[in-house]
Amino acid sequence: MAATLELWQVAKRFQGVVAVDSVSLTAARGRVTGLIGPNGSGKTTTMNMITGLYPTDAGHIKLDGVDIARYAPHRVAALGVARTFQNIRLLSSETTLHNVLLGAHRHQSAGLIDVLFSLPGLKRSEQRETERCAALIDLVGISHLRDVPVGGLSYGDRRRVEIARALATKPRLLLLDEPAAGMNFAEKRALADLVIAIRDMGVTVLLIEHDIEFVARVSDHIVVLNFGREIAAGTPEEVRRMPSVIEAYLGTEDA
Amino acid sequence: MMAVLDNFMASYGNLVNLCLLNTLLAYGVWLALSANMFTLGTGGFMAAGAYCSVFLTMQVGVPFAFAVLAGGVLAAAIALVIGAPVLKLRGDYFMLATFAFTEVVRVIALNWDAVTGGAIGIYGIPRHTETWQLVVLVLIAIYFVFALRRSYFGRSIAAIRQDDVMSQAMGVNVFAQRLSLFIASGFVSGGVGGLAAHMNFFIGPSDFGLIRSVDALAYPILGGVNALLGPLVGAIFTTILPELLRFSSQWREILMGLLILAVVLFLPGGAMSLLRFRPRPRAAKPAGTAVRQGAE
Amino acid sequence: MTTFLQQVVNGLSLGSIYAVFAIGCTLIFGVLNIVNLAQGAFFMVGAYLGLEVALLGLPLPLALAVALVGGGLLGMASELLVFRVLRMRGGHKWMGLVASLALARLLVGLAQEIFGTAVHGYPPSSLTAMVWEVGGVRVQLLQVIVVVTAVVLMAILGFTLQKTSMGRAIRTVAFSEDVARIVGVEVGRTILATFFIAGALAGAAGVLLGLLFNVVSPFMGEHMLVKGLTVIILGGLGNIPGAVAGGFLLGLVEVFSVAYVSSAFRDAIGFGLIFLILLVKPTGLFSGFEERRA
Repeated sequence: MAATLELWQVAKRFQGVVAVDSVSLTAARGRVTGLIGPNGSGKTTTMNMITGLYPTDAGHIKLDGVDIARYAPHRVAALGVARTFQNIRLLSSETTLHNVLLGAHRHQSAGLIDVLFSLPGLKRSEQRETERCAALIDLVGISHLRDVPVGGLSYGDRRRVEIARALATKPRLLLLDEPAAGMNFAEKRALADLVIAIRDMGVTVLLIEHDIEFVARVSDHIVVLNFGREIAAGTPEEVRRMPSVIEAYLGTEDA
Repeated sequence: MMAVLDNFMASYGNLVNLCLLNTLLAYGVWLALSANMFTLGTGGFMAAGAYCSVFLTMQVGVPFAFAVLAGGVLAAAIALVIGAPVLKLRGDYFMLATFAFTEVVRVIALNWDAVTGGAIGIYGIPRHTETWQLVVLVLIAIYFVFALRRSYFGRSIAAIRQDDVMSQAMGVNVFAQRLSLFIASGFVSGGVGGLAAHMNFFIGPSDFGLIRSVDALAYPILGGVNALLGPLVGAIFTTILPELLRFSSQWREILMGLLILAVVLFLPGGAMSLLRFRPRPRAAKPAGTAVRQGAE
Repeated sequence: MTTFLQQVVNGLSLGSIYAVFAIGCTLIFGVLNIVNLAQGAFFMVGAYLGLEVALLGLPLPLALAVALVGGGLLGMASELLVFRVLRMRGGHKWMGLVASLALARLLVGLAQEIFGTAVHGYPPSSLTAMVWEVGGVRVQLLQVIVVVTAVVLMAILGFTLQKTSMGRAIRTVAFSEDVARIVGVEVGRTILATFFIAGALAGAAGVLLGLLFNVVSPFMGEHMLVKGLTVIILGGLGNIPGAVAGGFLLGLVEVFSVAYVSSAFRDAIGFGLIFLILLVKPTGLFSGFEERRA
């Protein structure tokens, strides 16, 4: 069920400016891989390339051996890659349920004829996906907010809606872009439990995060980026001890 | 009862027909607007549908219904040809390309004398379009739009309108959905062109220019893009108001300009948003800024 | 050969006006990422303002100045009353398009009400009637005046953008509004100045075209808007040198297609170009590679 993601010497420039110089990393099947690095080190650009929003300039992105570097975003999604956004992108006037149902779009089985003539197939399909989405909303712990417009929800709750929506696509690989940003201590702990639960459901997770404690708690493996290249990789314990990492990233935070 | 209706139609029949036609057109444009396609191609599609169907009824002798259908199909085919390359580009290019298309059609209509009658246009078009046909078509259009909106398909269109990048990442094939909606919009506009031609006795190049496209866009936007009956309200209001006030054509232009400005500035959700009692929560993040974020 | 040279002269004079008008359109696009569809109406109002001044017997430079200022003020008004309000609310981009079309409609209606729908012409003067014959090529003094004025306007604009603090501010906002804020540029004022410049260029172009063809009518703006949009597609949206090159190119192409192909399809050739460009090189003929960002 879970997928392996391999990046090999992936590069990206914007109008001559190097955003990602050369990144190679592997998100192993059924594991949580943390991707850390200072601001501007190319983390979100890397994620945008994996999901097909930016075409790559060089390198391979392989999902279970299939090179997806040139795929359109919806095709990448159809292969089972789901994501959340750093700057939370929800439909703010819609309810939690309707937002999460968007993730289930691809799994609706009713065709245009069913839709236009309100045939029973439409109702069956909508009912099935609604139940599945409701269960996911329950899983992320916000079932009491199911029918509330998401515009008024707290930051942490909106992040949970995004995660539920990503899960509704039935992902094999889940990309989380700074999921803990703006959360308090208790919310972070609950989120860590959720990430581990998702992994245990059989989903590979690639996590971008600034909060090193959070990353260390949930990740099986960590990759450190700086200036558009990976400078270190290993288990949380190994990475913490590497001098280059302390200098490039941790050092600046402790100083 | 029937006598009252007959009397009414004798006095206001043309206005009623015009309202119905514009309503149909408004739903056609809504199809494109609903997925954020600011189409200025409506005038061109109407012209293509009108000239095609008139050619078929008057010179080939095809039955009216088939001629109108053929006009719609021709416009839909053109929408496919324009939309397929241009919808891959950013929205501004789409607007400019549809705009250029409408102008090209106008130039062709002015010069292809054999089919379009050139600048003089075509006179003596048989009057086939009946009020009941228009009523049926409007009802069908409203029902289809209703069915579409409440389904998962309609929700994905609303998502595309608000954030197409996010929609793609959730597995929605934004390009395919936009292209299908644009083709459907072209089909409806082309069909309306054919119906209008067989109602008016005359068609000429000036009937289908940029102004036509802009008016058609104004209907759903004035009425409200988010409401099922928005296009209907916008079309009827915009059609009847100038007739009621009986202004000179200059003052009509001034009034329409002011009216559209007022709605855009003070009622961004269109006239139908007046009916909503509970104000919706404000968007946490304006749609415009979402597009601006680039690489980290 | 003389026909060819004659067309070059005609094409350059027409193209210089297209360029002046299109620079305004592309400037606004560069700064705000929107197309101001009211620019055509500002062009038309500029032509009428110039005409009124000329009818009073005042000299042409004054007519041009009045049109410049009048167009510029209209541009500022459109920013203050419409675009700024819409930006504040963060609504959809199409609202700006609809609003600018409505504004254009309002102005065209007003022009019809005030000046009538008939076509007017500038009063004849000895200055405008002068013609030279150089090797069989007719060069009107008027054509020379138009081209020189257009080039001077473009030079002033170029100087303003490159050398003045306002120009630097405009270029910074065009690059990125956020960056502009960070380095302390007053974004609102800069946008307002951009609208003034764009409106002024449109107004001036109105006088120039009115002079060149001796035709002023309420509907001339719509026609010009079409040309302006064609040019900015040719040149690439937001690309000022591209708009200059595209303006001259469109002028030449139109004039040559009338001379060598058919007058009927003059306009169609311009639009054919648009489609071709959009299909082959959507960033315009005169631009480097600019990638779409998500």
